[in-house]
Amino acid sequence: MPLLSIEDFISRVETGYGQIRQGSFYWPASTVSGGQRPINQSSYFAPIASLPSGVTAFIPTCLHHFNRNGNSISTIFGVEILLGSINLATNTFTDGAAMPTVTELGVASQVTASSVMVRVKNTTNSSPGTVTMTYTNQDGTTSRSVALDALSSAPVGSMIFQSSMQSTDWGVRDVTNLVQSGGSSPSGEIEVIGLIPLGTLFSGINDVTMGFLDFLCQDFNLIKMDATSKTKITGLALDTGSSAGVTQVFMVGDS
Amino acid sequence: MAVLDSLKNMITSFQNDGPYCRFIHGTISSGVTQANSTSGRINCARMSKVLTLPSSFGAGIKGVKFTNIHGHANSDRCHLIVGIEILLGTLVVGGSFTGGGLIAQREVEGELIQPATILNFVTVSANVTGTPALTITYTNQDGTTSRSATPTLPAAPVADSAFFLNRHLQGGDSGIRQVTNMSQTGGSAGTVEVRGLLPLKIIECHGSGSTHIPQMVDAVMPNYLGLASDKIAMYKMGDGVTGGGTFAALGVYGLAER
Repeated sequence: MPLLSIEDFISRVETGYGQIRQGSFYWPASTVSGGQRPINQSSYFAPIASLPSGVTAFIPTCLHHFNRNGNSISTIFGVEILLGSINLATNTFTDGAAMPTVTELGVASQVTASSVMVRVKNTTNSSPGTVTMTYTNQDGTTSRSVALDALSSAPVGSMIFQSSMQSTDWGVRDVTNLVQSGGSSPSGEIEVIGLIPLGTLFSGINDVTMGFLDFLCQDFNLIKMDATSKTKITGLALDTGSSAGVTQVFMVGDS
Repeated sequence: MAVLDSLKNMITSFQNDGPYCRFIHGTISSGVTQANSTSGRINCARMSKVLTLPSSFGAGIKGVKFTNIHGHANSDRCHLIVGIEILLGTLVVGGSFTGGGLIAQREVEGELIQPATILNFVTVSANVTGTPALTITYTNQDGTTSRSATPTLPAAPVADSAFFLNRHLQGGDSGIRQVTNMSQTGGSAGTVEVRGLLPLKIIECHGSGSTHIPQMVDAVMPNYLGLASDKIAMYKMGDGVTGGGTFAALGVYGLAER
């Protein structure tokens, strides 16, 4: 029986299909710029490696977030999809997952990442050159391309919103290639990710904030998470200052 | 049975029809033109990146009811207003007008009605040369034709600038069903539009300098049904929206209405 009511939710928890996952974080002040806005990675959760017996997907139902920060910030939580990565030194592309195909508004549809983010997996050097992304756009048109915003001398975890796509495009369904060119002895590794949003929490300057999001009864925002190493819950803090904290997500196993 | 009638209906819709869930961000890197007394007074910026709903839905689904819209705006003392955006008319400055037609009927509270846009803006999509004085002819919220608004924009407004049109609507009017003509004197290049919003969400930002504090003080207003290919747009209104680097990010979640 799939989760169809609040009674089903309680029953699933009572019968042992609830799960608490926790992520903690600390980041130093960001040193990167470029793209549409620097982001700090917050509350990075391990992916769901496998589904227990009797569970077809996990549904996040609430989230607690503690944050000690030096600036006022928003943190946007969601399920990130690793679309692809590139080793800049060897110019080697590693394909990630495509945005998932789900039942959306009554039809099978591939979700579009209306925004993509670029994240540093291994520190980049001062002259990493240009990375050209080839992708499938919101309409399923393949072989679209755009130069990614530069991330030079960027430490691990640095992240920015990609500022543009090929003209007239507004979304990405899949990244099919990443190619490096130019620069001087380029090094480092970057990733391109998409996001399926869950909710946003905010906190004031020099504040300690404990936030709570209820995706079932308050800010209705239920989504399903399958087992895949390329999909995980994440928090994106829209800030460049240092911070630290803890996030917990409660999920219930659907059947 | 409407999807928002009960929590059970909402969960069932999530399971059976599947939700609409998207994340989007936008920025204006070089800033927009500040408002003045003849253009609408309130500084506004239109984030040019918009969400487009799917071009079709599953059988029997009338549209999308939005249950959660959340996000962030980085400007001081501003509102981030999210709504279904309708392009009512386009004027090439020094050139021709193209009308957007009558707004499509929508089901509100179970009844099919002819809506009018509640928040209206003159937007700039291509930099304007000169100081255009506009005459906008429209049909108001009650269906009365040949109403007019006559804002004069600031000199040389740049792309992504928006000017709040409501204060220029003819006396007693609260909305627009259709723009039937746009003309201008002054100005020689550029493109301006009249765009209207059916609002869904307001996100407040307090503070000044770098201490902006975004707050989601208002619940989603799920009054309007999102239709196929509808555009979900973000507008920033307030003091701190005109500088370069203005930014907004948004998560949008909706359920199928049958």
